[in-house]
Order: sequence, then structure tokens, then C-alpha cells
Amino acid sequence: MLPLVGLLVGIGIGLALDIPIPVAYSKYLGVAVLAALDSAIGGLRANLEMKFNEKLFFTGFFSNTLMAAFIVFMGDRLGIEVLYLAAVVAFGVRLFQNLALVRRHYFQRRHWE
Amino acid sequence: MKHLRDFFSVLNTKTKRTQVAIAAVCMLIGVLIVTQLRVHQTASQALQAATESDLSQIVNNLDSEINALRAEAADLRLQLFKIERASNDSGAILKETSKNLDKLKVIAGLTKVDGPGIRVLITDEDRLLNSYDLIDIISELRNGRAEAISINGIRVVIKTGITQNGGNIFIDRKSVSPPYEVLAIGDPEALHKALVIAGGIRDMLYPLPGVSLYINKEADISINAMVSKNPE
Repeated sequence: MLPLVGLLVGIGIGLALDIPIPVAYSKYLGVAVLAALDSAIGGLRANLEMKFNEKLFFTGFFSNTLMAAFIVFMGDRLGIEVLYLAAVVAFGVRLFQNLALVRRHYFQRRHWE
Repeated sequence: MKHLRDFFSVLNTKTKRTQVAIAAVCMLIGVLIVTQLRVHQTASQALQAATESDLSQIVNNLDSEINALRAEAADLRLQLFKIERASNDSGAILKETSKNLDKLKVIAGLTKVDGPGIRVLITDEDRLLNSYDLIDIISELRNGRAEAISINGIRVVIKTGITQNGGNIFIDRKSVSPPYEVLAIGDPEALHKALVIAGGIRDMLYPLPGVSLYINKEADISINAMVSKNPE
């Protein structure tokens, strides 16, 4: 419940602030969003598995996000513009895996009840 | 009501901090997502919907527009060059014309003239000189390339008439009497030479009693413009 409220508040803040970002950097932000989403879903999964650790979660969130942006940056610098695909694939795959596990947890719990 | 109770129960459970942490992260995600969507919306709202052929059409249009603008720029540059050249030409013509005009004004006696020249004082105690003698003097000065001449303050130009009625000499219908002071502007050496040349005007006037020429070379002489009744 609270995460949903947080998400809505975040969207509200984003709409209210209207942070201007150059188009050239939108790729970085896109990959960063993907990484953040992955971290959030991973945290949810860890929570359901009862092994949630705040420190792990926060460091994971920030390091994943920054690393994703850094990979895109490196790709642009090294002339491998498609390097960002590595981040996209890695986070995408993990996103779906975590989502599947979260789903399973919910259904199993309900099954037990 | 149930939601509210859930909310408070969540806050009171041990997993409260976990929930808050995830909520904070979700909030950050929300900000990021909205920002990203904003960027894409403003940057490529029109282009995103376009198909590949549409995009290539747009690119083609832009290319042809660029070419047209380049051609126009070249045309305008050429035009600018032509106009600049024309203005330079007309400027030179104007300069030349105004120089000519100045010269003609000096010749016509319309302007005051300053410069080096000679001052000739002609005494005529017995009033033996006639109008032709004055005309001869002026002619000699003109041979010496005098730019401007005056006799007793009266500017002598091409159309100036020197006439005689009895013993009186008139320059442009104004009576003049001796001694005559003749001013001439030009190269002093040349003017002096024109008057003292052997067999010239000085030798001609020399035998006449009471007539003598005093010639002075001066560095700065000023001759006034011709006084005209109908200045035009």
C-alpha cells in the first residue's frame, strides 16, 4: 500500500517540478528508470521472501541506477552505442524473473490461507 | 475504512521501515518516469507517430529546404557584392564629379580662392593705359596658368567684360582707376615668368611714361567670389 502511495507522490512531484533534461541524456534516464524499477521489484520480492535488508536494498537501488547510466555513457564513449542493450537486457530479464516470483509468492500465500 | 485500517496496521508492523523504504524508492521511480516521459513527449511527439516513409519524406523536405536556402544565400551574397561594387563606382564618380565641379566653380568665379600667387601693382600716372592693355595683362596671366584673377578687387572670369569709354575703363560695368592692383593665384614662378618674358607685356608697357609694374610673389593670396546680381 505504502509503495503505491510513494509512487503516486513521486509522479506528482515529477509533474509539479517539470525537471528539464536535454534530449541527449534521455537514454541515460531511460536505462536508469529500468534499473530503479528492477531494484524496487527485487525489494518487493525480498520482502515477501522475508529476507529484506534495507542497506542492501538502498545500495542496490543506487548502484544499479548509476551503473546503468554509466554503462550507457561508456557505450557512447567507446563507440559501442548498443552497449546500453546489455543493461536493458540484464535489468529486463531480472525484472520479469522478480515479477514472476512476486506473483508466485502472492498466490502461494493465498493458497495457504 | 478497511484501507485506512490496513494503512495503519502497515505502519505499526515490524515491516514498517521496509515499506517506507520501498515507498521512498517508488517515489524516486515516479519522479524519474515522469521526467523521462516529459522529455520524450516534447522531443519527439511528432516524430514518434511518423512511419519510416514519413520520416524519410520529412528528411527529404528538410534537405531540399536547406538547398533552397543555400541557393538563396548565394544569390543574396552575389546581389550584395554587386550593390557594393555599384556603390563604390558611384562613390568614385561622385568624388570625381565634385572635384570637377570645384574646378569649374573656381573658373566661373563662384567661390573664394586662396593660395600662392602674385600681386602686381600697375601705376599709371598719366592715364595712358587702355582696356586692351589690361586685357593683355590678364591674357598673359592666363598663359601663366592663373586659376583666379582680380583687378582692384573685381574678380575677372571668362565672361568678364573690360571696356573703355573715353578715358574711363570699366570692368563688368564698374569703373576702375589707377593704380591697378592685379591679383593672380597660381604657380608664382610661372605667373611671374608670363609677365616678364622678353617681348612680353612688361617690355610692351615699359616705354610708356608714368607706367610701372611692381610684381610681388606671395605665398597666400585670397580672391573673393565674383559679386553677382543674380547668383545662380
